[in-house]
Amino acid sequence: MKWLLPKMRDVVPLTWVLMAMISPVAAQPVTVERDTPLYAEARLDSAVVTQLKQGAAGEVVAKSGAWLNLKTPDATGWLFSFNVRFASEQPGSGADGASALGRLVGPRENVRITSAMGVRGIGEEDLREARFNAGQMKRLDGYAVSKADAAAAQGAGLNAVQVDYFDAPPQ
Amino acid sequence: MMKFHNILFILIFICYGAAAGNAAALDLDLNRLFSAGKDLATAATGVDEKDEIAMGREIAGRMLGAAPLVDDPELQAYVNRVGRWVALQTERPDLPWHFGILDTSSINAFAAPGGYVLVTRGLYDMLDNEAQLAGVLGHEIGHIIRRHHVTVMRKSAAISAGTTLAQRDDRSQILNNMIGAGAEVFARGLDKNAEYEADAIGTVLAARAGYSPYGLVDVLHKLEARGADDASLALLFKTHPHPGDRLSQLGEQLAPRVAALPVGKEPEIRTVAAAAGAPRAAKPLPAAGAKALQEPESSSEATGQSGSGIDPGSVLRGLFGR
Repeated sequence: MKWLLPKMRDVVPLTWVLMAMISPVAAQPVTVERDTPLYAEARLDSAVVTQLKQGAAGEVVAKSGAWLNLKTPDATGWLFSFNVRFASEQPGSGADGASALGRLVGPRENVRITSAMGVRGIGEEDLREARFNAGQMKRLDGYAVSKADAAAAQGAGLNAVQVDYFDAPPQ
Repeated sequence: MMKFHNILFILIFICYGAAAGNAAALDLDLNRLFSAGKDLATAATGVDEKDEIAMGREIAGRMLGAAPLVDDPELQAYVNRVGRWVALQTERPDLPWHFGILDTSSINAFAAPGGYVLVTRGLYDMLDNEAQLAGVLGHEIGHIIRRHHVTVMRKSAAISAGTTLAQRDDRSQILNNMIGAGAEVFARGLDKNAEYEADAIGTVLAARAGYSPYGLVDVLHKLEARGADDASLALLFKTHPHPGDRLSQLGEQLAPRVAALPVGKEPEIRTVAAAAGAPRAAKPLPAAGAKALQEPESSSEATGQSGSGIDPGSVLRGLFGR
């Protein structure tokens, strides 16, 4: 029966791979920002568990793509992430990318911001004193790709679809 | 050739002073600026596409003077493939689109008129998948295709006076004033709707390109989370559109459309090659800098003159915010 052991072990990582689509996270408090259905699964065609009202409170316990798994006192289900706002942390609390919220929506890598300038980016003085860099511009030009190359490379795995601009006049 | 454009993410940004040494790099034909419109867009903004591209190139070149590209040719080529593919989904697919990742740990992204989009490594490293990258690039592309920067310039006194530059002897000064005035309008927050518009466009473009439409939503959540990290960021968010407000605006537009939007894909994103080294650290923000964030208009003062008379210090804006 020893031959079974390695195969059993193989099952575990496979399971992990399947479960990776849904990422469990430490429960994080959120507020529902607008009335929205709570779905049984992370799919629009799944059953609606309940209708949530704006202002409802709950905890996010998992994430799957654009969907969040929300637990409220009355129900558990899924909704689009744009329908909630995460409870903000207190400034100066020392929270960073390792905070609870950071673990859910934080950086893929541990990029820690230690100052406003970090977010502000390149220093204002740097920009003010910057001069046109012909060498870097030449590199930028060299990295540009043609329409055909972009379509061939990206179009292979992605299907372009028709989607109207949100501000487009009604058909 | 030169030009000008820009925009987006968390803050407003402005840049450059220019220096007389750039004269050779500037080849902006001022006589072309604001002359008779050749098409509707030109008529609306007073700037035709050729001038737009020229200004954008100048601005992008100076941005590259402030922060070089990450030394990872494969990464840069990858970002160009993704960006061009997203840009192909717009009504301006033939602009000379250029995309690049700047080697700085700062978190920001910029658009310069005519098709130049630059994203910082700090922001790039926050992204989890290609759909999020497409959303960010789509937001910048949105500013460019809608000519947001040019529109702001149009609001300046010089333009509203109705005189074309070609008719003025002091057109160089006028252009300088217009750009400065435009930047001030941005800084004062009158263009927050342009940011919301760019968020909506970025979302739509990502969806058109086959990606999940919700990548930008993820990024905005990330940015909002970062905002709570530091008291000085809270200050910043007091004077600039908060990512949370952008989420609210975008969410209102998305909510009634979810059934019509495609699910899309979330392909893996390419990581920066180890050989490229660690990102260049951002400098600490001096106290005076924090104050400047509250008084963005103060940063639009010219510190130098470029060969074209453009005050570059007023032209660039941050991507995710103004």
